[in-house]
Amino acid sequence: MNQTVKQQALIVVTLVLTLLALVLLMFDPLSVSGQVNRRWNPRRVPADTVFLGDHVCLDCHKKFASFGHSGMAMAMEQVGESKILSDNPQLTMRVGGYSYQIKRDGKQSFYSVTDGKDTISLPILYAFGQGKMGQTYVLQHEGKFYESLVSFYNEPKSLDFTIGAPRLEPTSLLDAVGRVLTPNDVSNCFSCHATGAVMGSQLRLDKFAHGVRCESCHGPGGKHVAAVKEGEPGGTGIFNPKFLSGDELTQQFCASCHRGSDEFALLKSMEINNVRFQPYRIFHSKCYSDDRKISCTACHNPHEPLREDPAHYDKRCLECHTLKTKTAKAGDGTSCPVADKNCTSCHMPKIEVKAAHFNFTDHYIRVVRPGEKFPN
Amino acid sequence: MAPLILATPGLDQSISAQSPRKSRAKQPASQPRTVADSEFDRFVKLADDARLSDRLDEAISLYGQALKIKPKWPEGWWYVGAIFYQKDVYPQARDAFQNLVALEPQRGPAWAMLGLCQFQTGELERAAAALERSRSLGVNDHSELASVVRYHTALLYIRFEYFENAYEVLSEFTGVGNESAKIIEAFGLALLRMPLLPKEIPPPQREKILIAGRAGYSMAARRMEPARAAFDVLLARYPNDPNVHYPYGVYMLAQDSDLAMKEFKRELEISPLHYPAMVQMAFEYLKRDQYEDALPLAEKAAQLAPKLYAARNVLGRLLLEVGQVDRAVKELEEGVKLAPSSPEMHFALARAYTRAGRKQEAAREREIFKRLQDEYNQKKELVKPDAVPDQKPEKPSSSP
Repeated sequence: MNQTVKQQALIVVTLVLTLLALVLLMFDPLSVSGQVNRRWNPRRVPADTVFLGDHVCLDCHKKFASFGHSGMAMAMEQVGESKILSDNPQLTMRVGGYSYQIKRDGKQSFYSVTDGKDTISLPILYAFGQGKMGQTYVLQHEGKFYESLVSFYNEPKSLDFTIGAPRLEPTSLLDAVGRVLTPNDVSNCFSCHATGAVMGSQLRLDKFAHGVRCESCHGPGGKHVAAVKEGEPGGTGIFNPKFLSGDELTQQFCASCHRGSDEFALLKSMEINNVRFQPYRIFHSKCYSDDRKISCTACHNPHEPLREDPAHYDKRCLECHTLKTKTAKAGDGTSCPVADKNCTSCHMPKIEVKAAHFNFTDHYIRVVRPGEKFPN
Repeated sequence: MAPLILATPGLDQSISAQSPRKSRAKQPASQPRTVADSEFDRFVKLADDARLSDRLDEAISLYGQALKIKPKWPEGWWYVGAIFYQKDVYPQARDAFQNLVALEPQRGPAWAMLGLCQFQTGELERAAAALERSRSLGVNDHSELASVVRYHTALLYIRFEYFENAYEVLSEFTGVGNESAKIIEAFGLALLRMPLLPKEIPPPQREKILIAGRAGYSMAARRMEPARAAFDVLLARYPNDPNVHYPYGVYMLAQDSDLAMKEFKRELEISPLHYPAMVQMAFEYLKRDQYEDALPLAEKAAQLAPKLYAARNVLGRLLLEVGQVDRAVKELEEGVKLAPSSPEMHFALARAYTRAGRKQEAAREREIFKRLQDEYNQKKELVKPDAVPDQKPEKPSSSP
């Protein structure tokens, strides 16, 4: 082969490789979607982020309007519009020598605690939680944020100690208000229960959206809106978690708030309270893998309110497992020898967390043995 | 001062609760008694009388006679070791307890006493191994012995630069609220990462160690205000000393991670090879998804401290996040080799295997993780606060 032929061959090979790379790039799901930030983390919002708000998203994505009624969207209630605080205009509780009262006054609610002599009364600034389980309040006193010592619980429709708080008589009136929140605590609370309240490492309570909104999971929509207006494909300029692998989605993306492996060191000392942290629990399951068929969104549509009927989840299980068969042997993992419906009612039992007045679905999918100790 | 050893802890209760004479009755009734048996009984009786009358030299000699007849008599070795220990004759005490652990290798108190003797004779590595073994076997309900063992275990961890382990062990003392100078001093050494035994502390350093110890104790006891106050003093007086900003950073990490990161950076300005600060920063950057900032720190820490499993853990996890799955698996496998009993390591490795599609290995690691976690929880339930040593590790007393 002479030199000219060699050079021509090299050019052809280079062109072919370049074309191949372009084709691969075009068919890479991340490129197809035109995602601007593969690593969007709902809790790590960059300092200069500008969110547009749900109303802009809903201009086009009308089918997701039901998202507003989902648990995530209602992770924080506006005090002025709070259904819980309106429906329960006067809540009281006594802890030793301290009396608590949460009283509604128009669009405001006041959290008061008295030792009989002195009283601290503070307006409730932020109401965390939608009331499915309960609601905890954040207050401000002498320049510090406090987590209320007592919370509202939906099941008894009354106040009780906030989960995690020591169930002891406070040592002082100030102590009775609740726990002083550190900068990390404040950041952690607001970054999961609100959208745009923490940017960079700065708390931005002057302008944020209550609850987990569209852009919390999808990132800021400005580039996407501009791109679509320019006629770019639908997925351009916006993050879509559906392109994450199963493990990335479950153990990182969703776990950034619902808690997964990164926080297991913390969880290991919490015993039964671990059941609240679904990514961590599901990781224990025999069927857990990087497959999206076992990831959070395989069963839960984050745009809709949570489905409570066990039958809804059966089809997810049946994607891998078969229905009850006479030949099935207990423990072979492929088919169930006992039942042919409502898989989760047996394999994902409800676990009562007394401190939360709530039965949580244990996402550690397993064959539950009668009388077994809660597998931590 | 309460005697450390009233009976023979760890020995079979059916034996230790009885007098040595009764304990000898364990031999089958059908077996005829020999002259040697009678002689043994006589020596034991005399030895017990001598011990109870505080005639310790005589007791040692008489127990020795009995042991010549029955060298596999555990109680005899216990008493001989305990008396030598009480008399500060540590080499002989060590030998006696060595014989005892050979006979009763599952007896935690015997390993405890052996370790304490080896500590005194300067066989520090052996002492550490024996004390660790006694802690894993347990020292029954003998709280004073448990407390002395805990203190010495912590000292040895400090001496061998396992400062985090030392801090963890010392933290067990906060349960009873004892803030004796010895404990505070040990906390100070651990916090300032000074691999010294108390007797080796240079006098000019003592003040700093005690301030740091106060901070460490308060931190372990979750008394945040006193901890903060002690750190304030420490930072004000020793702002340019190594290992001062690092523990303050660790203290602040759970409360104000931005401030903590500043402290770690300051520590690295003072001590550029401070790999624990690098690891802490890498973990925090990992948490913040700042992988590019985290990776160089994790790489350097793993290079500086190749045996530090935490460095492998953070490096492996970072590599997993940036898509270098194969390398992540290698780092995490190395970490598991370094710390096979760390649930964190198995958890991280399980995730890496999951991402690599190695399902069976992932499942295996998850199982190990769960088992270790259960063991951790069980151990946590077993750790009960007990007494702490006052001024010096107590001597075992052979008197009732």
